[in-house]
Amino acid sequence: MFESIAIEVWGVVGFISLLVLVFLRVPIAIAMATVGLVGGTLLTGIKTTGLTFAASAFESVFPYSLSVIPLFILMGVFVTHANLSKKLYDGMFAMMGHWRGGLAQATIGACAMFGAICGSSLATAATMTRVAMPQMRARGYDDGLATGAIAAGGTLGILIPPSIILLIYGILTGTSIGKLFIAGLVPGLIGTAFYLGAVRYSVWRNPNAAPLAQKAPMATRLRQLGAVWQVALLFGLVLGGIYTGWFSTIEAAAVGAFGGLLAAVFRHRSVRFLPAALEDAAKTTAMIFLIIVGTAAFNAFIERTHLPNMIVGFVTDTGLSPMGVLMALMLIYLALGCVMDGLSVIFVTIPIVFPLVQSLGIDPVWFGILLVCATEIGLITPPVGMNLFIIKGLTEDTNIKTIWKGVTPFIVADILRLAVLLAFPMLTLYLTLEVR
Amino acid sequence: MQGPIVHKFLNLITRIPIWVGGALMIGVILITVVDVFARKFFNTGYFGLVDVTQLAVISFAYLAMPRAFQTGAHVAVELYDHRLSPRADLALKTFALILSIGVLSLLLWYGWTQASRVLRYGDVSQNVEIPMIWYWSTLMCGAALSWLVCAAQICVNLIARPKHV
Repeated sequence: MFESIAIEVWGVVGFISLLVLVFLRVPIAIAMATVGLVGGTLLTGIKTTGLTFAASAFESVFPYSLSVIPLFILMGVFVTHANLSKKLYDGMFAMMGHWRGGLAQATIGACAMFGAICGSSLATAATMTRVAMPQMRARGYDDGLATGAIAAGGTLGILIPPSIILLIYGILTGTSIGKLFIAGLVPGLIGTAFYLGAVRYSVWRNPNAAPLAQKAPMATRLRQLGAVWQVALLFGLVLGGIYTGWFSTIEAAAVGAFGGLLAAVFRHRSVRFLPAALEDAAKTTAMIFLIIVGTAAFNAFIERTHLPNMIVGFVTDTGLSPMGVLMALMLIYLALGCVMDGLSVIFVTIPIVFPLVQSLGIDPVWFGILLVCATEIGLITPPVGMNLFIIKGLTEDTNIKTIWKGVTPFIVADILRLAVLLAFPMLTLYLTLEVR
Repeated sequence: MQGPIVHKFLNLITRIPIWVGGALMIGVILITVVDVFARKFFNTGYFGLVDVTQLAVISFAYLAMPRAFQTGAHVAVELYDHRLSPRADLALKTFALILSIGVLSLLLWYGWTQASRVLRYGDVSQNVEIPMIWYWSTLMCGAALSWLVCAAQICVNLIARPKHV
């Protein structure tokens, strides 16, 4: 009965079924595994599919290279427990707090640094809301600007290394994680600069949104800036180690986790925080690894249907240039980012999109950065911008429409950055030429 | 009353494995740091770190899977949550749990076949010959506990009134 249907059609049906299950709120891992297993059973029988699935559930999480995921997650969780966010914020505030809009800019700077070592946008947004929101409110900042700066600043960590989402992209596509990390640095800094520009623009439009603050004495400013040494050391150690080839990425992650652990123990003067920290990290790891298992099942099915080959053939026939295809893909990712979180978008689309990207000769490192940039915008765009909801949840008296309005200049800044990175690939790739 | 009792029981049986995996990961972090510095400064290192790391990571991930199911930590798209009636919300949650049970059942059934084979042949890891069944045991244990958690949650959902969920 099934032989009469072109095998590629099964791939299309499978992909649509996956989207339906995802929108029925089935966890992404289970949705991918279900489609992979049902599709595989229809094509090859349950025994072959089941045995392959069990083997892949082991083999897809067994590679040593995957160790980097829990290690960086542990580093982020320990850093959060070490309360480095407050020190970072105070340091940034000391430097920029007296400028007009400086408090919002300090928030973005602190978010960029904290997000970089924490690795999670949501954790950064939640942490910085608690740290920065009361300060900005106390100094008469407009709620829209304050929440917009935190929401947008929270996304910077996705790109500035070490980034969990880049790690996952690297593992899924076999792209060098070291190169991805280094490649994310300049786009992350460009994003930070554009966000600072967005704050300037918001304050220029409405000077009352950010009253001027008093400048602290130089000694106080230097002391507060000096307090961020732990963050600078950790960041420098991890990234410097990878860049110079002193550590492998996995070793850098272990050293980072060890540094985070020391900072947390130093702050708490005990190890009582460990059970909660380990549970946080373990749940995130389990969630990501189960998606990897689900992706393996889905990939096996999709490859069997030859759907990626069909798409490559179709796109080649249209005669679109690689840049044209890339721009079309970015538009699709921007749209998907509005309704799905970045991790889900990457896991669902990579099995189909990456073969196309490879066939067009697009650099996988460049594509990875563009992909993460595009999906990252989804964190601050309605209706499912997760960062917006986290801030709304933590500042209950702020209207969601105020937050949406406040974040708009930052969304524009993000789209501008994406356009710049698309137009000038070397901004992303230059540093990777030096990676050993 | 069944709900809270079941949750307490599930909390207990899902937390203990996390501590086991967590302890292994902390051990791996310490060994890796020592290995990095020993290699750089004393030109020596710990042979077998790769095998131990793989065991720790598999344990950390799979032994935490039941807890992730228990606390709803698995990523799902929550686009229209606030617009759903409690009954529809409960129905969707139960549907997702049923699919999870299906996937986990298949994993357990065929995983058992694979694990038995590994045990029969006495497979060991490459460097320090850790029996491969240890790796498989954590996978099977995590999958079995996750199955139990999902089944218990389905039972709780079926007997719960939607407004209490």
